[in-house]
Amino acid sequence: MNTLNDLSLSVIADYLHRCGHHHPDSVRDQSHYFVGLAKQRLRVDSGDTEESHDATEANDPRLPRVTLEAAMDELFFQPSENEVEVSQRRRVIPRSGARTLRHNETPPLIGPLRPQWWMQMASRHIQQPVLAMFGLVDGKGNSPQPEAMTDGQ
Amino acid sequence: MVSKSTKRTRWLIAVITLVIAMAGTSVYVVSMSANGRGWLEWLSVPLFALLFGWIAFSFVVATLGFVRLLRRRPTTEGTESSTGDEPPTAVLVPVYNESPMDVFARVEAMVRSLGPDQRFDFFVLSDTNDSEVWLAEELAWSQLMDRLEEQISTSCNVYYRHRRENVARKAGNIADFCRRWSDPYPFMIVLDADSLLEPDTMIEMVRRMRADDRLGILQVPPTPIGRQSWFARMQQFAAAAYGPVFCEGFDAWAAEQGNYWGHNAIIRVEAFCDCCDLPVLPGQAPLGGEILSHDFVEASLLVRRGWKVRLANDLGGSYEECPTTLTDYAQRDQRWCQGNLQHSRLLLSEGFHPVSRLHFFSGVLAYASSPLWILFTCLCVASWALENRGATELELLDAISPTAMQLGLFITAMAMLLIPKFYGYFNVVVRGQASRFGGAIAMLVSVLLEIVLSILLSPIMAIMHTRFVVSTLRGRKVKWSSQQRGEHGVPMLQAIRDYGSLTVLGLVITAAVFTFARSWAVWFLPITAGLILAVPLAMAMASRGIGNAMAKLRLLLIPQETCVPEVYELYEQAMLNSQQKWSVLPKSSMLEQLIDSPTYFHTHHGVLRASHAEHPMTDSERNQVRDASQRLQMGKEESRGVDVSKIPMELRRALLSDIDLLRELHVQAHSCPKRLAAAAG
Repeated sequence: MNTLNDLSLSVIADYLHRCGHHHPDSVRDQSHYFVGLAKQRLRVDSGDTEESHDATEANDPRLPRVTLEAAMDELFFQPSENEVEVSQRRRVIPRSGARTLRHNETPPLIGPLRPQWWMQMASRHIQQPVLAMFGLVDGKGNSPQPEAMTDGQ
Repeated sequence: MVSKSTKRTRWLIAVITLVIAMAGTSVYVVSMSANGRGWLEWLSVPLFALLFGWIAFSFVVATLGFVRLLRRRPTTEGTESSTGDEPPTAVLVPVYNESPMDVFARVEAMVRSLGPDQRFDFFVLSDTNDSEVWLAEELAWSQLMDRLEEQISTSCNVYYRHRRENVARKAGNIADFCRRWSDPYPFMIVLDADSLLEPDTMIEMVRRMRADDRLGILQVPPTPIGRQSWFARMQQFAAAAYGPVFCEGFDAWAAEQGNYWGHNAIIRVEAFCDCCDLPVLPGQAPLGGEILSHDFVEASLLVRRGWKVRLANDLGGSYEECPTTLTDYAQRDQRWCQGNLQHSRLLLSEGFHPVSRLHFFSGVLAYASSPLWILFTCLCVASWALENRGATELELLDAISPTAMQLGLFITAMAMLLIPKFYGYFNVVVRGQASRFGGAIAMLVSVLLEIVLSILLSPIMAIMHTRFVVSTLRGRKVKWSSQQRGEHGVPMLQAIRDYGSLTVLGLVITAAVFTFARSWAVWFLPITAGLILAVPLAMAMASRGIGNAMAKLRLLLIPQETCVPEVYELYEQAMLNSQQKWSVLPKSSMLEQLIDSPTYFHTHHGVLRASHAEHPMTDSERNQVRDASQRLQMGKEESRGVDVSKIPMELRRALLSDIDLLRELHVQAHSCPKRLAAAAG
């Protein structure tokens, strides 16, 4: 009997039990499956073939750890192939289409609190009338106003 | 958009307030002549006008509310259940380092009370940055899910998501939900961690939103319940007894340009996404930068684009909890103070509805009025002192005797502050609901008790608010931490540390008054008594024993104590169940349990992935965690297992987002020699 192999089976059986898998047959089958998977991974790591080195992986001290990793990958990290994961996914927040929030710029201060506003006011109420007055004096006040040009012409 | 009756109401309130304020200010100016009109007194005139006007506004609104309540007929509109075809409504519970047991007990109570046919999806949106609380939230959620599957027949779902970074606080938390998960939901009910809603209220909120497609927010006024300390009982009583009068008056003038108080409200998601992305204020914090008090701003942004924001003051069944001690109350106020003062920038910004500006103004004045009152008092005392330099004792005595006009002003101001409390009392008695407050006589005694306590507490709160305003204006940022929500009392040392300076100030003022103007002592009594008694007052008011003794005497009772809402009973039951479950959990830290338990690890992994919150640590951080979790264990037991208790606290939160490293530690823990021996044995 191979000690590390058995130890790995015990560890993974204990782990599955803690995951909520209690049926003995299911635990046994899954334990063997995960240990097999771990051996396969170790074999791929070392680049060897199955026939020649089965005993090597079974004696590899990494076997219990790799078995656990293989089990976690199957149980938690590859959800599509696993029923438990599907039932767990039901619990977490669902996927949903994205919505966007329309951006709001910082609203400017009311006019009198902005220097530019005073400039505009000065321009509208002082500068323009003064210019208009000069325009009248220069005899240019008879030029058509923009409104007049659009009024039926 | 605004109805004629609302316009009339607004004009009526404005005119009456203006008349009272102008009359009061005129009397004040005339009364000044008794002591000669010094420049300091002239400085106090605009302050008096503003503060007196503000009291007048509040009084007029309460009066209007009282009249409307007396005239209101009982509504015949029934609560209709949904047909089942409509999409579900999202219920958001944003949390930040709150008690997970409490949060999920509340969610469970609401789910159970809704029954099997109502479709509400609860989202507990966690911004928690304390790694232990975060993990406890996941465990509490997982336990609730087990109970939902096994015991509760419901159409509701309860989802949990964790955000790695607390970007933009609660507003950012909700915005994150809107961006990622709000798509199937036309409406979202926003709650606080301590909120509870009765099922009929939730259903009616949804019904009203469906009935009016221009309604952006429907705010249901939350009633504080469930606390026992004397201070909490006082707040609960005040809210239950006087709240309806003020809410009715508020709704009368605000109407469809109402306000949002941040929770216990239903929001149209489409409108929210279209309008409520918060702008960043120019300049640095505390007055610039990110907006802290998001609720008022969100309401004003909706109103700006023509959406209705309404207060459902006729709906009950909306609950929250209040701070149990004066210190907790002050801490909460400090956060709100900075948030509200920030609104002063928006008050003077373009594009907001005048009513929204009034909401901003009232929020600012809620805190700014305290320093203004203190400034006003100082100006009055200083002007009196200046004018009476070198006066004889007889002249002094004459100078400090209030004239009939000054006395009249004082009585008017006090009446405007106190009469609304009696409106609340009469509203309850007239409706035949006094028995729910312990009976008409017990309620009257409660009102008088609440008035005395309010008077004693006002100078304390005024000085605290002044401190908050000054520190905010001086540029000190407030750190927004989670609220202390439990009943924990105030030990003497803490009370002396927090309020000792106020007692000293009270003694100094009293000594000064007795030295310079003895006959003023009576007028200063309401100020000095509260300050001198601040330490024992803070301790006594935090006492649950005194609060419960009051309840036995049927004082400061609220209707939710005489007839406990079903949802609250369910919450208490859920809390009991949770406490039992948690009491048998291992005493190790939550992180140790996470590394040790496959199901817990599985839950955490699911949450991380669904929340899109996986984030690997840097290599150097990973190595630090590896070193810390292994090295010490190696020394002790010569095993290669993990000892997560040695992982530095500052790395734990990052570790929880690094699923690969967690997996490594988890595998290591389960394949360590000690566990292997146990498995083999």
